[in-house]
Amino acid sequence: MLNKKHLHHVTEFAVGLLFGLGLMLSGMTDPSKVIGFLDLFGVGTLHWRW
Amino acid sequence: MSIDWTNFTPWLSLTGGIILGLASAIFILVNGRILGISGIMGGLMPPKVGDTFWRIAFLLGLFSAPTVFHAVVPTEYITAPRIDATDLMVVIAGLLVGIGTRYASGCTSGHGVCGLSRLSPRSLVATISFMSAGFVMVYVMRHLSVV
Repeated sequence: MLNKKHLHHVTEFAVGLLFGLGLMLSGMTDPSKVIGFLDLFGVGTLHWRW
Repeated sequence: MSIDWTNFTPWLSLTGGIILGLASAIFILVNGRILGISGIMGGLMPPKVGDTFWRIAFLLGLFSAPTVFHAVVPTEYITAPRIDATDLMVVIAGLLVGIGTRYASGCTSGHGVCGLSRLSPRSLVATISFMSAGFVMVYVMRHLSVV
């Protein structure tokens, strides 16, 4: 029988996958993009990236 | 000031952010757990009886994201991550991140995503601290030509 514990393991996997996809889609897996976001004074060189 | 549209992707970032929030919401509503990557990973070192399998299930999902992403998303939306640092710098940076998250009892996901949305004052302090430190460090590294 599929009990609540098994179901939780499915959501644990799915949430991990979803979170990873969100990170990739937003660009946060790319260090140069994250640094670009943090670079408030980069205007004129590479612009504000996010 | 001009906008660099190839690197400025607000709609993708917004969509990604919504997905991150959704994942965190599902985790706390269905599983009753706070989604904090460093905490989930740290709990495996060393692994404890009865508190291991869910962490591995989550991390397996997280680590399979790149494979799924490349299978689902059209190639024109995929850019290769760029790391402007030596391997040694990456190792040192990783170590510093680990030490920092341990002292702060959480990382960007736990404090910045889950903590802030739960209106936790501790998470607000943590988020303000690490974001400020990030802004300052990038300024020092990029504009004061220290390295």
